Amino acid sequence: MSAGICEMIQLPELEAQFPGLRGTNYDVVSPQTPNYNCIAWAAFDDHCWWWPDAFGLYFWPQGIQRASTVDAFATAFVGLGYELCANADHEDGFEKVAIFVSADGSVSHMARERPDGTWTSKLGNSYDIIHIALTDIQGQEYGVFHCALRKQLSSPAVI
Amino acid sequence: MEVIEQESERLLNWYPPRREKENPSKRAFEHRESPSKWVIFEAKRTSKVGFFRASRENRECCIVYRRECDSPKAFDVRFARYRIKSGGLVERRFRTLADEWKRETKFVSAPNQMFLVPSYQRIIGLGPAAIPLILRELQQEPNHWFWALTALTGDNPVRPEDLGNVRAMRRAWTEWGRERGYL
Repeated sequence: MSAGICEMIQLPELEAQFPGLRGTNYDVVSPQTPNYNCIAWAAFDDHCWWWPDAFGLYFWPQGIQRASTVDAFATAFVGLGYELCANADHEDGFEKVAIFVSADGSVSHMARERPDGTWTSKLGNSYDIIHIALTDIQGQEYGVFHCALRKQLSSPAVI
Repeated sequence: MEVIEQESERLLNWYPPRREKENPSKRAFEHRESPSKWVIFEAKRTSKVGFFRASRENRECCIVYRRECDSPKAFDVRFARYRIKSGGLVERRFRTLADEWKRETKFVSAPNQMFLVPSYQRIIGLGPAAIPLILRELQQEPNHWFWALTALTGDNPVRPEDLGNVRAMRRAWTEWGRERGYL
């Protein structure tokens, strides 16, 4: 991987937490920040921490259930123009987001597909990374990939 | 933080001056002029030197001594130094717990996983003494101290339209702290 714009990146710590990244061509593309999280990042928002927390402290789209269920997260992203799809495989003309769940079935993480088919994830209070596959970040921290939603990319203008 | 360091004579008031049996397992010792016990939480010694660290309420003291007695079960303090830190204990505990919490939850997004961990709960358990420490920490570095502050103060100065906006939430809490004299 390349250090990108970040200095003092603690790669051993990152790879210890996400062993699937070891030996892959991942990239760190932001400084560490607590200002936004993976859900916000999946929704193209880098100013807010999104979560349907019971404490009522964080942003969650109005009218969507405040619960850490797949249904609540999927509904929130349907509200952003996404639809549930069969898998996370790259499809031309579509952009996808992936929902991860912990062992107890609650949502733990979301990742967003990039136009080239790679994925981008905001890792909690830590970095944004680009990773090749969803399996690269599966494990103790984020559990496993559960389902994907897709959204049609706007067509390029025809001149 | 107030740090007091004094040497020799005055210390002898703190410690039995002559050939008292050393007994760290007693886990406490008394100031001769005070009924309050200082609870020892760390004690180390070699054949010639040693130290005790003890706490009482929100204060911590460290006594360093040199043995000048051949008997392994007795000591005679000829030189010693003690240090008392006012408020140091809570601050030190907070620092340790805060570092532990940041390390444990660095990659976590879910607030329940961030807040319902022992380190964060222990910080809340420090009680009102933790409020200025948390506010100073938040002032220096943004992080998710909002639930701890809400739990400790029973207040929440964050406007509904700022929910999730960590910069605005941080600003609201530091202003709240300034208005109440915590910062």
